[in-house]
Amino acid sequence: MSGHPGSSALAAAELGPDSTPVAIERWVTRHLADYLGRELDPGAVDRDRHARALPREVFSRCAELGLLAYLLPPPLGLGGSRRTFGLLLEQIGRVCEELELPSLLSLFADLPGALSSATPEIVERYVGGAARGEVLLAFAYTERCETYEFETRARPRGDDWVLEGHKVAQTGGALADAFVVYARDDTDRLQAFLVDRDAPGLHVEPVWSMGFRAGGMTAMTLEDVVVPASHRVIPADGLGQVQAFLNARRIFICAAWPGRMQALLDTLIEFLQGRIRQGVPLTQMQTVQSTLGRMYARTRAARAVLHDALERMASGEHRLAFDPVLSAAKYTVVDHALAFANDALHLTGWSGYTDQLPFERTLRGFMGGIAGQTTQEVLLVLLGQAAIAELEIRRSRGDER
Amino acid sequence: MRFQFSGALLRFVDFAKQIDVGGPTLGACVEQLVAEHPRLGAALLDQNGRVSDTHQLFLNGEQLDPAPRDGNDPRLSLMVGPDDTVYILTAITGG
Repeated sequence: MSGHPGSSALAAAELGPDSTPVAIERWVTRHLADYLGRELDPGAVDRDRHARALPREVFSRCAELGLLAYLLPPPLGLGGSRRTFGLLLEQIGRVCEELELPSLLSLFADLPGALSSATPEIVERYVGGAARGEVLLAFAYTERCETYEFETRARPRGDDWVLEGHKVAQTGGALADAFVVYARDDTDRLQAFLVDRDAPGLHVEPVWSMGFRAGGMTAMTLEDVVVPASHRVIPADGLGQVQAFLNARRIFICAAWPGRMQALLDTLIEFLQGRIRQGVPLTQMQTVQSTLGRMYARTRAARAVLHDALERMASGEHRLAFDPVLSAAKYTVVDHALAFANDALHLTGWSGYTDQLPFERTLRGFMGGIAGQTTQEVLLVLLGQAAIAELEIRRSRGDER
Repeated sequence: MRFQFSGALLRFVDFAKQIDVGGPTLGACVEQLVAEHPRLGAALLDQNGRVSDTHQLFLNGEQLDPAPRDGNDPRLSLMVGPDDTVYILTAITGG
């Protein structure tokens, strides 16, 4: 892999498209595990309690390793594979207590690629800056209404564009230096604009959420925000672009979860081995073993569908706009993770219900998967529609069986 | 030729599951379709008249590759006849 200035010095350049899960696990252990255990994990409970975003320094460390450049195209990025990056996220989930880190890392590493066809100045400043960890980008898409009813508007004014509206959810917004904002133009179609955090008229506020509290969730209001024409980064088919982006990103938001489930299972077993009831450790009781077996099965199942989805992306078989297999994988990983964390609470009782153990915090984090990156209920509707459509499409091909 | 619709696009064609139109090319048929359902235009086509990447097109069951973002839409030049069917699969997701 080459292209990124100084790429030979970036540790992530060692990871190619065919790196094995074991090699990736070793890479994360060698480069990140100690750092995260020493610098990040001790503050996890406090950040959750006070809804403080992850420290900026952790993303500087990720940039030093080449993780923020990994997905971006050369020459500014490493042009790495999404499969390998997904497996990296899984392993980061194994060594990092906070689900927020792999989620935000995937966002900050992936989103700048959307600006690749902007002007050379924009590409160098924002894409190059993102690869170096100097610029963190978030996106502002979601509103309180359906996509075709979005109220945020973009109107030309002289050589500039003016944005007005309200966006309800930006993951990582508290850390972002700039936002990719989607707005409807006078033809009612979406375009996307790059808006700097300090742009006059842009108001960004924190959003309190049930879990994922170190994720820096925000909402924004745009009041007569003027952006130069060069910042109109997606001038046509903004809806198609964002749907393709969300489709490819959907599995990333939960890619770390099978790794976290494996780490939590280990923590849980150690905890239960130390709890003596009726003269024996809880792990010697068959009902406990049965529940641990179910949690193990859920962890392996989540991992299997994650790997299947990542291989599908690597093979190029996935569809651009909405790929049922990728979306079914997100649905399934979230479903298994929620059931897994619920079982953990059943086995740990009061200790698990409190912040003595990480299970309640992780359960609240997993619940973010119900709402995030398309709600689970909407995904089911879309998957059902896709299943019906696929039969009708096969019929029109004369291939019903 | 016959268009079939799914998902979020149905509201723009008065929830008709299928509509028959005539024309020598897919582009001519799309033009007629949009003329009959004007609100469909902004949902189906982008600012350059290209079918948005949001929609997946299947001609007689075979998926048509998405068009390049910076050029004409070659799908619209395809010749079609009365027995052809284009299924438009639309699934809008959230962020």
